[in-house]
Amino acid sequence: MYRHICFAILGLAVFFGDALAQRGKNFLRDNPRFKSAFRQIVAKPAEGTVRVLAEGKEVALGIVVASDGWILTKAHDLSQPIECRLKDGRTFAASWVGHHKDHDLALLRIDAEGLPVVPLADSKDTPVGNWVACAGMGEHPVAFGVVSVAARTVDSKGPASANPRAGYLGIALESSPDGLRISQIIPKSAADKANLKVDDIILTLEGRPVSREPQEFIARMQKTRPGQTVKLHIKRTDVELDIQAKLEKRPFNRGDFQNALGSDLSNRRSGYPVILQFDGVLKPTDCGGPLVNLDGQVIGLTISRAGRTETYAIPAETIKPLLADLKSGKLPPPKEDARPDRKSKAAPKSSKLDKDERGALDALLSLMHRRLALMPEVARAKWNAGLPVADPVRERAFLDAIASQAKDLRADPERARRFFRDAA
Amino acid sequence: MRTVINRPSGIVRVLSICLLAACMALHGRAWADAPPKSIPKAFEKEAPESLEDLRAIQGHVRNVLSRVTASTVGVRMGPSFGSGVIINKEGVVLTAGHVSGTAGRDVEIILHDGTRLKGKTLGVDKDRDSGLIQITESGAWTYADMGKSAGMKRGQWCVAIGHPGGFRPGRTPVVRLGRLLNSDKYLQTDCAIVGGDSGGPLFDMDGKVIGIHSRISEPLTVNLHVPIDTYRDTWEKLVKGEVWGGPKAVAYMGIQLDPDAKNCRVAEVSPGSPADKAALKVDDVLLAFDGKKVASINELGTLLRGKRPGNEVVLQVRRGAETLMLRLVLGKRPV
Repeated sequence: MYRHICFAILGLAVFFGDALAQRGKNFLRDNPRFKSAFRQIVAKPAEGTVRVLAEGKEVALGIVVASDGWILTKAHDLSQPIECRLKDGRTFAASWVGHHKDHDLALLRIDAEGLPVVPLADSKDTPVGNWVACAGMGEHPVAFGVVSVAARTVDSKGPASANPRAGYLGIALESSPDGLRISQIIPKSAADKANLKVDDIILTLEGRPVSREPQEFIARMQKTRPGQTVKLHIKRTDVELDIQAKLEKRPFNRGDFQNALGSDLSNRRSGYPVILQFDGVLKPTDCGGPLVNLDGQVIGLTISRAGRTETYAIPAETIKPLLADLKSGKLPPPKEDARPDRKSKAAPKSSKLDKDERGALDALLSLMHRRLALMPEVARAKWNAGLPVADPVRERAFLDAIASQAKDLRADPERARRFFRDAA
Repeated sequence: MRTVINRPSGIVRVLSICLLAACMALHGRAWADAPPKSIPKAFEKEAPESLEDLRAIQGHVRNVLSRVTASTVGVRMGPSFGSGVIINKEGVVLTAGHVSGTAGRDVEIILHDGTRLKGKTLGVDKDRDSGLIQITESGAWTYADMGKSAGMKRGQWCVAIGHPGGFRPGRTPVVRLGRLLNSDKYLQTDCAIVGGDSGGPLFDMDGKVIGIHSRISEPLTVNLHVPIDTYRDTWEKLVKGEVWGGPKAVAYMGIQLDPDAKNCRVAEVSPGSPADKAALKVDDVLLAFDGKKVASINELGTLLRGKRPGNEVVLQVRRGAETLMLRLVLGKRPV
């Protein structure tokens, strides 16, 4: 599934770079006058740009898509708790409402009103060669460049470039009628040592089911680290097996190496169904903000610093039709402790349940399932009626009540709170 | 005439060479008679200063692109990808020497719209990294004119086009806009290029090819392009399929350093290489080379370039808690 490209390689002149790098400073894009030429066009979109923090760290920018607290951002590096810092300096706790995995978009909600909305235009009127600027929260753009490739649908057969720092399993995958099939094992790789075999069907990774399409598995593997042990549940002919593989360091790859030269790259850099490509050098943590053309129109949301030559944005025309679904709850964010790169929080000591307990649990889960199934319809009705879909104030009051009830019943109030938040 | 030169026969090849040379003469006249330039004033400033400047640049760049993008091609040789540019109606493609490699190879040329054509490599100058390919099918190709690389000024604007990472279906040739930062043996620009772009064209604001993508160094401002003049200067040899030049014997150790490490940590030792024979191991940290301290890949490179194959050096190496001295006989890089 990986295209084994052996690049016709640019010879690397790594040795005399330092001296050459000093030349021509005045002409470069970090010339302040050059940057300030874009001031006018980023001024307006910058008002509706927010800083997104995950666990207190700056991970992305975001844009206000509705004045009553809806923020659209890049999902990949998010983890709870999430906060949004506005241009006026106020910081709000954000709830993660919607998540579109393929496009890597996350819709957040903060408890604020009257925010300046960033209107989304259309990228079609901004062809290759046109200037584009990335609005940040300041006066100047955080990056600028020209459109390198207009918005296109990507026929992705795997990652264009894998994260060189991610853990390495050493398999090639393909989609098959039986599921996600291993088509190749790299000799002496982590997969080989863990005794994985060609034709094994991967059922779960770290306890979570995997999609039949390799991209999803690959995207999840991008978040792993060398040295980490991952659990796979696989099917081999008629037997199901649990496999533990200790990940290794990705072997040296010239394409990855060259792409990593000169700038920091985003953790996720591939698998987007639609992208607009430009040549601005954007910091990975400044992705998620507006991409603006010379007319001041927002033509996309920046999503990835993907290589030495390329930065991607999701075109605005792709984003607009997704907003309703993101708001509806149809596309829920990942469950907190199911995220592969997070340490699991104190797992229950024993998973053995007696018959009655299991019966009670089944009943509860089935109720929860029905409640979740209803949610999109409820949300759609609210949306159509112009009502806010989420009601954080009421939600908080409800959860507080649940927590106090749990306390009375001598249950863990935090766990009860979490259960109801996830279920409702 | 076109059909004649594209018939793949030995005799006809000779004809085509004569014809190509004639074409070049015509082009030479065209440069002399180049129409007066209507390049906006904004291009002359140190940097664009206003929205008006940006608009003027954008308008002109779009105009240039509309004329030249379709001349940019992908080049595939087996599993390797590079780029190139068609520079005449007979289907001669300029590329980098390290893309075409040698003369007489079969290659696939991929036009901007994905059309795949057969081609054969012509001559290569390994010193300057220039090479030519002849499209061996008949057709009407969109081509770009060759410009001049001599006398270019620092700060001059240029457009780099190519196929970074190799040609990808559904992706048009990838455009980058930048400035010329330096020109001597190579043109240096801040148009960021990467593997797969090799051989692709660098255009000036007249829409003429002034360079061919060749090499990079780590900073985004170090992208080197073969100056177009060398193609013109050596045109006849290249068209005849001559291959000349090549790296002087460079001392070779056979190690790969960890690009993430802050020190000279060995990430890979090639089996059978001088390093392997000297019993250097993965995870060893090089402390000194030939009695001189080394702290980075750049320092090691500088020292290595001062040596020749056959020279013997002593390496000081940290392995775990130990510090070792290893004797290493430098070799020649295997081809």
